[in-house]
Amino acid sequence: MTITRQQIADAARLLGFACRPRAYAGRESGYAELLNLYRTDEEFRDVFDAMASGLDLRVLDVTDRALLIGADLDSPFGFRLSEYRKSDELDRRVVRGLIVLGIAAYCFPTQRSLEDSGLPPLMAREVDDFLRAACEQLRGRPGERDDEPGLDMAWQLYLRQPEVKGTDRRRRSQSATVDLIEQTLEDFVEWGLVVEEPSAGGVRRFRGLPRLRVQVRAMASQHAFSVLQKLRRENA
Amino acid sequence: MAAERDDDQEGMPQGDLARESFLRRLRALLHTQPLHQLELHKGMRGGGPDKYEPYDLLALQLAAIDYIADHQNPLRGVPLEEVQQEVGHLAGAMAPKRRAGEHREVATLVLSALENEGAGAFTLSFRDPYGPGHPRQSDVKLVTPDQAVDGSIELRATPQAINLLLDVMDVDIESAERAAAYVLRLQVERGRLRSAAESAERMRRLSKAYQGSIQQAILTAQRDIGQVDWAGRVMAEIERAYGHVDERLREEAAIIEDVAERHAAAAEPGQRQALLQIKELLEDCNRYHRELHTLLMDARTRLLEQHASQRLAPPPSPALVAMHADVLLPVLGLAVAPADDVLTPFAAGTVPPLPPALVSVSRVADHLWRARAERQVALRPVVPVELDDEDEAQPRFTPEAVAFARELLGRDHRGTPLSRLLSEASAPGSPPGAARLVALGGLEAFMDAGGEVAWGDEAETWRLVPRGLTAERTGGRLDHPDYAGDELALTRAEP
Repeated sequence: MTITRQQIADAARLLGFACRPRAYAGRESGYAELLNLYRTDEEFRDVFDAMASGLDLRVLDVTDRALLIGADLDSPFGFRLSEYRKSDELDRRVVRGLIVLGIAAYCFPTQRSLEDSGLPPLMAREVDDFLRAACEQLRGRPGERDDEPGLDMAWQLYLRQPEVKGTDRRRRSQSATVDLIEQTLEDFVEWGLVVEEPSAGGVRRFRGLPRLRVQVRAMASQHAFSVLQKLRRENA
Repeated sequence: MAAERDDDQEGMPQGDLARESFLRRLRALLHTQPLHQLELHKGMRGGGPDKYEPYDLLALQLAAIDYIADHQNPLRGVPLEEVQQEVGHLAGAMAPKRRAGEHREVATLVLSALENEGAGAFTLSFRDPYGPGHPRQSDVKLVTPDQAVDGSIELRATPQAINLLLDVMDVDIESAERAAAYVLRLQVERGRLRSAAESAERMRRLSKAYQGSIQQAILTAQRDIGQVDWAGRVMAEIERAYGHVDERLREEAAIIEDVAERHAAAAEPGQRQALLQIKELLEDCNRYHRELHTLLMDARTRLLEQHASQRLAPPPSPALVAMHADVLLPVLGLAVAPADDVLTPFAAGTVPPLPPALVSVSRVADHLWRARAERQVALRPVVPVELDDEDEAQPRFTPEAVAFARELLGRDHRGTPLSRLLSEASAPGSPPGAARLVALGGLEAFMDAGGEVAWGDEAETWRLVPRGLTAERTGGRLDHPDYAGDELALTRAEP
């Protein structure tokens, strides 16, 4: 196969668009042509895929409007939870991670919901209630190891966090979960995963975008599930 | 659903049942601990040992929970200011000689303590004498702040707090409601109105607690509507709760009617007052049960719809993961460190690849230094890339243009305006591209660095700007039809 400079330049441009989650064909000049090229020209697709795989990136889906890619765990473009909003400390990172997981599970609680087309509206308070209800479910589970000294469970950690800022202004907490969820949803907007909708009676409303489903279905859930299985095997 | 805890114990050996009951009662007692703490340690708070002496902070906390539980409903909590005012008023009655500002301060202290000063749940330790010897923990929340639609703060009493109103007893609320109604009827019939009023008050608290527990269960089930077994356990529980509420509504209506008749017939003012009070309390019970009735009707409709859609839909792909049951619950059930091991890759998969705003040199370097074998590439065989220079569409400078530009730039300049050289380079007969090269040369001279332009054979490098050529701004503008910008004066230093 002979690859031209033009093909490499085009593949790099397409990768550039794909790495901007809020870029869509029609909004960005040249994006639609490159998407068309990717879909119809096998040679170009090979060039692009080789370039992406060298950066540990994977094509997850291609639509008329965008090329959706995901980063493998080693990719230099991959999201690092430990580098996200001062999450270097373990407890803080786990709360942030639970929020990301909670938003995903709220949108896609079942296998079927990962296949459906509709996405529910997202409000920080609702997501928090959902997460807390899941924690409460574990609290009441027989045999749940909630009382071993020195072993802090994730559900206990989450339940310990205040929901909204305390009413005593001098003691306002920096870790109120409803606020953290809203902050994460704002970041999700930046990452092209959700959009903000007009607020309902003053409460901020967001809604998931198809990209969120694709990322959770093809990357996140698989990553998490395989680690969970590994942990199970180790503990068996 | 009120008997949910008992459901869990079906089939349990008698000894376990007794132990579970013991633990529930122990936890219930434990849950009063935060209330005692504030009262016991009030002398150690700022303002001196006497500051809070006249105030019974235990009673004020319980009164605050009572007030919130009485005034909240399934949709809304109680505005913070309203509760503060109520508690401040009660504090004022305890210490009428103290100033109003202090009463408000006490109210703030009481509410802040109930919320655990913004820290969320109280984590309390206890030991189970029948279990393993190590200490166990129980989390309790009494009052939670909630943000209203207008952004203001509302307070809610938790089901755990409402249970405190039930005499800290381990009760099956449905049975307790029936029993209380039966006792009330007897007391009213026998004219024991003072006791009847107490029973009515108990009924009111029970109905509030029942409302709280059912509401919580419905909300939990509705959130997970896609993955709960609607047709089985949840449907049965909703039906049972529905039946119970229906029965309560009818019985309450009958008692209210009876009490109203007795009230109309009573002549003695004390008796009339007591009957009126009983009637009002029963009307409260009735209201809570009506609200619950509506909630249960909605839940029933939703579950029937959901049940139908679950039956009609094709089975989902087995490769997909049920996020709630297969990921969220297992992760929440992990200790914090292993949870992190799952959450980190989960988040990495959720967030699309983002070029970092600032390139992290260590990450890029790590990636580049990794041995090729480590990289998980090659979903398909990688074909060696041949680069081809076939693309002739790119415009290039001809050797004539370069030679022409070099000649112009290489002259012995003493402040020659760049505009003049540009005019020469673009005059008729000059090679195409020469003017552009001169402009570039002028810029390079301005940067005070003799530039090099690679052209043609890669091995051959041509110097475009001679060493020693510098340029500086004259303050004027370029005088040329094709080029604009600052005028530069070129000077070549003596070699």
